[in-house]
Amino acid sequence: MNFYEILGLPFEASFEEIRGAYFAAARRMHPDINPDRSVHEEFLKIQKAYETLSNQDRRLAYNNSLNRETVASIYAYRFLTSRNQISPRQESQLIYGLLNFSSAGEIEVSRKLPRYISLVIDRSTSMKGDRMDTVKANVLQLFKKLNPQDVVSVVAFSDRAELLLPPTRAEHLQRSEYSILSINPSGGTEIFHGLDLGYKQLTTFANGSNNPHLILLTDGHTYGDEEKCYALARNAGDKGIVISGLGIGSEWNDEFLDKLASLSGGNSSYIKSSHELAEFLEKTIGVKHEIFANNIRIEFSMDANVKMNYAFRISPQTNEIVNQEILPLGVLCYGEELSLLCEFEVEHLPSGKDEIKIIDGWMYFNLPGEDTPRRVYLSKNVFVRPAKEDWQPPAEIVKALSKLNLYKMHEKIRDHVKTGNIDGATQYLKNLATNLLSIGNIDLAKVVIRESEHIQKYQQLSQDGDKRIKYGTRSLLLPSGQEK
Amino acid sequence: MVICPKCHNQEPDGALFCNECGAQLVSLDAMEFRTLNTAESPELLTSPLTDLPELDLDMGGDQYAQSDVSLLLMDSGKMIHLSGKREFSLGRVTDGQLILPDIDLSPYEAYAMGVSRLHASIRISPRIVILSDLGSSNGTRVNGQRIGPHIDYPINHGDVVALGKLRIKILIDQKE
Repeated sequence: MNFYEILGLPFEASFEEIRGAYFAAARRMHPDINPDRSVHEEFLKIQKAYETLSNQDRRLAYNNSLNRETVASIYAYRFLTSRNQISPRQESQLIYGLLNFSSAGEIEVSRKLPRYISLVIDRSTSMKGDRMDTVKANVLQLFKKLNPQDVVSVVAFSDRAELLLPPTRAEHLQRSEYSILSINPSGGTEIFHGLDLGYKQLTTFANGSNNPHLILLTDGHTYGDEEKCYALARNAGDKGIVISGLGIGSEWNDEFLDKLASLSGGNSSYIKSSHELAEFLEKTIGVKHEIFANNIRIEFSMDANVKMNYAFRISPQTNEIVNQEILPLGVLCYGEELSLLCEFEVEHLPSGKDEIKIIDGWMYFNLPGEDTPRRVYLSKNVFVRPAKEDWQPPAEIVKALSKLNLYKMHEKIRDHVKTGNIDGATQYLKNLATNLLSIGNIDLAKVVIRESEHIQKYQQLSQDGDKRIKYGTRSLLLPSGQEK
Repeated sequence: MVICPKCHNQEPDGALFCNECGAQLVSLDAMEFRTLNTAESPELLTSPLTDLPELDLDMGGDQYAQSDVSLLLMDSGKMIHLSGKREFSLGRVTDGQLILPDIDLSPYEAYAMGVSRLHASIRISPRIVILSDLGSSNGTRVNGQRIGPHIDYPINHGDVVALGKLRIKILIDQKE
C-alpha cells in the first residue's frame, strides 16, 4: 500500500485532509490509548506516511517516485451533506449525509475467491407441503449455479438442528443432493439452534479476507432465544460473516430478522411467493456478481452536540443499519454502489463555535484475499453561520429521503397500531396512500388503502398487508424502484 | 423550526420532509430528480392481487363528480365553482396568448396581484385534490408556505392558496 492508501485518502487530498486523517488515527491508535502491538505497528506506518505527505517538498518527491498504476484508485467514494452550514442556535437542527462507495475499475481475476455459504433451513411443521418442496427445489437449483470451488453447507432446524451437508465444494455436490430431499418438516421453530450450527460451519473459513455467508430461510417466529441470536449475529459481524434472512409467507417476524441481519451487515427479504425464492437466493448469494470488498464497516466519531438518529442503507440492499459504534455494512460487488443515508441532529450548540464536526473516522473494508483491511478517511465539518435564505440540498439527498420518508411512515403506522391509536394509524395510512399516488405507484397505494379499511374493521394490520407495505416502500428506495 | 405547509406539524430546522404527512419542505430549482414511476409496478406486487377489493383509483371517467371544489376569492368575496372537468388551470387572459387558462382571474385584479398567465393547476379526483404550481413568476403558497414548481401538492378543505398575492380559500365538498 502506498502512503495515500495507508491514510485512506485520495491522491489529490488537501493538506487539511492529510492532517485530519493523521489526527483521527492518532486519537484511536496512539500507544497511550491503545497498547495493542499490532495497532502500534499500524500507527507507525501512518506516522511515516504523514511525515512524508505533510511536507510539500517531500510529498512532491514521493509522488514522483510513485508508479502511475499504483496511484489509480481501485475505489470511488463521496460523502455529501444536505447543508454545509447551520445556524448558531440552541434548538435542534438536522443535517443529512449521503455516503457513496463503489469499485472503480475492472475485476481482478486474481482476486476471485470461493464463496463460503451455509444455508440454514427452517423445517418446522408450518413449512410442510408446498413451502418445503419449493425450498428443496430451489436449493438444488442453486447448487448447480455455484462455481466449482464454492463451499456450501446445509443445516435444517426445528426445535433442534441437524447438519444435513457438511461444508462441501460445489464440484463434489452431486452425491450429496439426496440429504436435502430427506428433510421432513416437524417440530417448533427455534432459530438459535439452526443459526449456531450454521455459524459453526463458517467460522473455520472466516479470516477477514473472504466472505462467509449464512442464509437463514424461515417462515415463523422464534421463541425466547432472540437475544442469543442477536449475540451470535454480533459475533458473526465481528468475524466478517454476513447473515441474510429470507422470510417466507407472511407470519415470520420481520423485526427480528431485520435486526439479526443488520447486526452482521446483511439484509432481510420478504419472499411472498415460491417463484421469487430462486431469484432472491441468487441475488442474496450474488451468483451473478463478483465480490469487490467485504467486511465493510464504518467507525467514526463526531462532536458532542451531534448525534446520529439513524443510518439507512439504500443500496445495494435496503435496510436500516443498527445504530452502534461500528456500522456493519457487509459486502459490495463489482458494478454495485454502496449508498448510505444518515440523519444527524445538532442540539444545544454552544455559542462561539464556528465549525462543528459531524463525522470523523474511517470506513474499513477487506479486498478478497487481503488480510489487512483497507481504509478510507471520512470527515465532514459544517460551518456555524447565520442562516442563508433559500439553501438547497443536493437533489440526490432529497430524492433518497423522499422515498425513505415513505418507508418511515410505515414504521409510524405500526407504532400507532401497537399502542392502539387506530385513528392515528389510519391518518398515516391515508397520508402514505396520497404520497404513493402522487409518485404514481398505484399498486402499493391500493394495498395501503385496503389496509386502512382493514384496521378500521379489525383494529390491526393484516400480516400480509403489513409486510407488503414495509417491503414495498422499502423497495422504492432501490434505483429502479424494484426489489430485484 | 420549520412548519409543514400541509399539516402544520413542526419539524426541526434542516428537515427536508414532513415526518407526519410526508410533504416535501424544500423546493429545488431543478426538478430533474423527480422521475415518475411509470415503469412496470414493483416486482413485489406483480403477483395477482386477486384478494383485493375493486378500488377504482383510475381518475378518469365521470368520477370527478364526486368532489365539488369551489374557490373563494378572499379579497373580493367572490366564489368560483369548478365543474365539468377534472383538471383546471388558473391564470389570467391577456391579448395574443396561445394557451388560455381554464379559470381567468383577471376580473379579480390578477395582474396587480402578480398572477402569471398560467399560474397553477388544480386536479380533482375522488379522494384528493391536487394543486401544482405551473412555474409561475411570483410563486404559489399554501397556508403561507411556498410550494415548489411542478410538484403535486394535495390540498384540503379550508386551505388558503396564494397565487402571487391573490389569496384564494379552497372549499371542498366531498361526496361519498
